[in-house]
Amino acid sequence: MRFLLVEDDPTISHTLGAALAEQFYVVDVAEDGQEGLDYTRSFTYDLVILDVSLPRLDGLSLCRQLRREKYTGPILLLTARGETEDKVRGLDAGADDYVVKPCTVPELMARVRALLRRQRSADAPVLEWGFLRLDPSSGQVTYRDRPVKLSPKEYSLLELLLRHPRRLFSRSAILEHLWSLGDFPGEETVKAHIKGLRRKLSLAGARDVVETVYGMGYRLRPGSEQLNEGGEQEAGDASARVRSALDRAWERFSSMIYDRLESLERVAAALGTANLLEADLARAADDAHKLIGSLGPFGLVRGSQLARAIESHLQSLQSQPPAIATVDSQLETQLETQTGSSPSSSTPHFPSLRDRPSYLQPSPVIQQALNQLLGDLRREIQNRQPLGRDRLLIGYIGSDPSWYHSLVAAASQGDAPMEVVMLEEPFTWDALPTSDLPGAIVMPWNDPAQPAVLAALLSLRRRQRDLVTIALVQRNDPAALMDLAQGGWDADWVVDQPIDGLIQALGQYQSDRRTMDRQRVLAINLPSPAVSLLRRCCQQQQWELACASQPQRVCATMAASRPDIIVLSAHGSPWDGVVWTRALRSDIFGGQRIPILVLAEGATSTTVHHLYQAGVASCLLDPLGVDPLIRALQDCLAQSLRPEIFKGWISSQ
Amino acid sequence: MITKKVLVIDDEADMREIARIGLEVCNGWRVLLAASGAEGIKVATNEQPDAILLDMMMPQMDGTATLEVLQGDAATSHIPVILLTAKVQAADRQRYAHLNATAVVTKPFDPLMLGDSISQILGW
Repeated sequence: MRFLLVEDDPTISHTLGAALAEQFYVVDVAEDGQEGLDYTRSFTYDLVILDVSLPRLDGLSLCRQLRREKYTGPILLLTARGETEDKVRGLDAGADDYVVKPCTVPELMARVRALLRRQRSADAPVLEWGFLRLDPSSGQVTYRDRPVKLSPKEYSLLELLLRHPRRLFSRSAILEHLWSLGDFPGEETVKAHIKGLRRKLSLAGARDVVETVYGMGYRLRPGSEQLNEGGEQEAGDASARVRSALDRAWERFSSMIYDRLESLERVAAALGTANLLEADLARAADDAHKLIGSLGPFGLVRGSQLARAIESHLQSLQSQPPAIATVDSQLETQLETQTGSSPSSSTPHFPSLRDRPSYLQPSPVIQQALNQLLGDLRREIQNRQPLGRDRLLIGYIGSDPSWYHSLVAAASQGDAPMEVVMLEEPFTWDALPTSDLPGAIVMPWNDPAQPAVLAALLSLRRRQRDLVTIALVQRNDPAALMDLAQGGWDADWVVDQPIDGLIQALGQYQSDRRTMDRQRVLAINLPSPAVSLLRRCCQQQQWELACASQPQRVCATMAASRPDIIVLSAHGSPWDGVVWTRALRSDIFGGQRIPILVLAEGATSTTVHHLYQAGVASCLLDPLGVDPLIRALQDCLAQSLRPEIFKGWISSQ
Repeated sequence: MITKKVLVIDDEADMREIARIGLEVCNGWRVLLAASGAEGIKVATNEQPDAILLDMMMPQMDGTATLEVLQGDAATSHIPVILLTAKVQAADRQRYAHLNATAVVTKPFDPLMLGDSISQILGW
């Protein structure tokens, strides 16, 4: 917290300044009213302490002037004993409180704390954020009642954040608040202190309290006070570990689950034929029963529900319980009615319905329902997403361990859940389950001839389509860049990028990437076959699809819910893809940063050229199927999520 | 964190692994595994776990038979047994209520919450 003390008596300003500094407050001292006013016009203060009698501009005039200039922080007046009128006039002039000189330092500190407290919505004398407590009266910071030792600057930083729990502070704003006029630290200093503060809080167990808003500054992470309460942060870590472990277990057990599914599909196909034995049916019901229990924990809750419905159908075919007997009777009645016989006829026209086991003569209703359920179940299983994908696994390839250690240190300080592992040759991705594949590769590019590495990376990209690959290249080594480009590595690269910045960018990327699970797709002016195809893709991926053709409708749709990607046709009347793209990139539509994918089958090279010139992300020239279209959409989305830092994208695709 | 020893008896390897992951990682408990009723009885007798999670549907010796043996043997009768089942019909529930087990946990369960459910049931 930064204060301004306007006092012309050097003894008092020195004593008070020292006492405030001891409490970790930063104090600027002005010796007259005009200087004080100048200071407040140039810097931000959390509190102003004014003497009433000041040369050039007296304290009361200064106070009024500060309020006129919209200074909203607290003002504390220092008045001489007996000057009651001064006190009244001072409070009327806009001061918040007064202290009579000579005053004791503890009294002044208590007044200061009280004033700062009033600035906060909560009236607590101790600043709290979950289990994290900062007591300004004692200068003590504790987490879960255990003391946290901070340097004076780290303490001040934390106090600033705690006093303004919803405010975002840029580095320069922090500099203004926490450093006095005589100091000229750079913004890097703030970064270093933030890092120190985070490390010490983290060691005490208060993790993820300070959030970096990339490119903007720092604040208390919204919601982290709850996370740090009741040990839920620890639970959060455990939960991430459980998810990762379940993903690994899925790799081991998915073949068993597919076996059960296939057994069910075989039985469903054999229903009504003489190939099916009652024992097969019983086994299939067991398989469905087992799937009920095992699919849910792997994240396939709907799969469990489908398996339960399948089990119920299979059991009904096995034992002919009343419910199914009713269905069959209804069917019989219907058939009898259709053939003109009386439903009450005691002689059945279809004796086989009653004489043969129901699994050999299943009702069409049951058979159809079963097939539908099995189809849905297969889709659920095939589309299973790893549970632990929110952790970014960064693989480091290189012989220099110092880069690796820097990465590990930066990742542990970062806000996003990341893990850095050192990868060693030979790189055998094929043996690894998907959940263990790295999401990013970082590699110092100091050895131009690494064909084995390049081959391995290309094979990794085939399995991990949104892989981020980063080469660390020295700025003064352009030849290395040429080698890299020539090597055919379709990689992002980072030139001389400080590791901290890199980790921050990766964290942001990772957090954006998580949102890929539920995307909004806007189709504009697409012909109906393309819309049907896109609808199937969106259903499979559980993305939302909206369609619009008229500009007004497109505008309204985009305003109501910002799409993550737009799909257009290159052709169209009266507006083709080029016209739409140009229009969408305007402020009116607000689609400047939304990736546009164009279905351009049959388009001329000139049209394609114009499309790219207008700013589309990708054009698909070939006739499409569901899978290639999903891949193209995913690629566009993944590329659009890449942080600004990954600008050096070399793509062979 | 209280360290407990829990025995999971289930013939399905994936279910054993899911329970192990949940209890070990989230709760830090020691988890013993058995793939059949007979094996489970042997482990329970030798290891004296604090609780047993018992799957009801197993080949040969099913959950009901295993529970009878566990409860009939002085060496294991004091160990609380929680039944694991995917059966949710009222008739099944009624049947399980007569088995004198401590509680029934329905499958599918959330592995993250399994330990908490057990703690709640057993007052840990």
